[in-house]
Amino acid sequence: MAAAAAEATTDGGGKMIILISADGKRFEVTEAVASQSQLISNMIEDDCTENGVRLPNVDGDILTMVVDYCNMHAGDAAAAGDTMKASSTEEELKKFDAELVQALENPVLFKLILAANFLNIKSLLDMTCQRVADMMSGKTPEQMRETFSIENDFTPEEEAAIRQENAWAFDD
Amino acid sequence: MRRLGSGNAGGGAAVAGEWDGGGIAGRMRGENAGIMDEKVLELVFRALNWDPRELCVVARVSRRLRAVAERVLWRELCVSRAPRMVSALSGPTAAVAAAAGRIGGGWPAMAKLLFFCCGAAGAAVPGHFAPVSRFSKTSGRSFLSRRCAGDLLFVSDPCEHAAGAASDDDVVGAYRGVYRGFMRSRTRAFLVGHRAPLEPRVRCPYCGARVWSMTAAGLAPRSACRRLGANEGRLEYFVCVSGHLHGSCWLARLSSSSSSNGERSADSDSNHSDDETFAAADVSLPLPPAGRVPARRLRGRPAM
Repeated sequence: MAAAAAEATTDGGGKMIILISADGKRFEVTEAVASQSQLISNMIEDDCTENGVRLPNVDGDILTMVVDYCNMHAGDAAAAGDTMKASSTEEELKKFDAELVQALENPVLFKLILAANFLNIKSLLDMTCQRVADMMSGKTPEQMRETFSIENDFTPEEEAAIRQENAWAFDD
Repeated sequence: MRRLGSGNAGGGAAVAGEWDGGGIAGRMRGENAGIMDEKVLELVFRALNWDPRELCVVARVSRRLRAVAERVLWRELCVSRAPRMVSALSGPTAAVAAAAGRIGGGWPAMAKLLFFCCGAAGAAVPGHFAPVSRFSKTSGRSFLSRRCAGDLLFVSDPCEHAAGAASDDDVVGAYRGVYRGFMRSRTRAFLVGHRAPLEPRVRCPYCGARVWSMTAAGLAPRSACRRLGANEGRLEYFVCVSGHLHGSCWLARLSSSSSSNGERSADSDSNHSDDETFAAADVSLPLPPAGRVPARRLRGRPAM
């Protein structure tokens, strides 16, 4: 998989860069879109994106979502306004975000968190983490196991001991 | 399913994955993915603002979650709430200690110390969750006898409880604290050197370890009484082998004519670099005004 990505520019003059996922999928996006990732923004600044940016931590299907998200948000992020894309309205964005995060299956949600963290896209990271935080909030250990399909691998004795050990936070 | 990009073949700028501490082997085998992933948990708990109650629940879910809580999450909770205190406790070798991620007695015990008032077993006052606390080094100094003055100790303000069936005559103050590097402290050297006996019945409420009675060892200076506003001689405190301190005292009654809140803490340090007030949760709990102990709040139940 030779990364012979040539430097490309759009008609609008926005410079394009190529993102390459762990499984070799390639995504062509404008700098404005890509630089919502602080990681890539830094690379653009350091002028080392010419042959494409390999993201060995991010699978193609996850990167597809990340790119969709960044495309959608390019309008409001690019304060410089050098994107030709019509910026979405705030309402559309909210709807898009809510639907995105609600629709995700757990495994995908977790992968998206790791990708957002790795790429350093704060808004996406906050949104996905908050989604999981909401899923955890106020649950009992048993409810958490159900929610996240976690096996209880404690023996009953251990469980009793641990319950006692961690009961202090609930002694009012 | 997950593959590392195969080398740097085409000369493309490969972003070397910082596979975030330790998880690489597990991730490559597909273990500990999703919520079991250490990094995911850390990021989600940041969104939960390191809620200690959520953490107590998560640590009960499975072995893996418990292990991550003990290795990472409790520490991050402590750092997020009491950054200056934690960094002072990590000591002059802060870099080393932080890198190793260790603290005397462990991070779960440290977190409990920050958020749990130990009560007073002697007065049948049960312990309780303490959402807001203030610890200070200046206060800690009052608990060190002259020969141990070189030690660094943080002690909380006393948490006041009603005790005794009779009336509000009896007010019990419960307080807690922690030494920096207790293993190398003068306090410990003295206790060990003088073969001070470990208490047969009392255990550390934070780590469960055995304790010395500082009062019995003659290491409780008079300044501790003054600091707490305790009746002379009516206090006792213990230090465990990991360096956690816990104790109680009978507080001198404030006469009704005296100025209310501030009085007990008239000698409170105004040196804010020395103390740290923090809340367990990100809620609108009334924080005490700077330099004063919280208003008297009576808690606890009458002794049976």
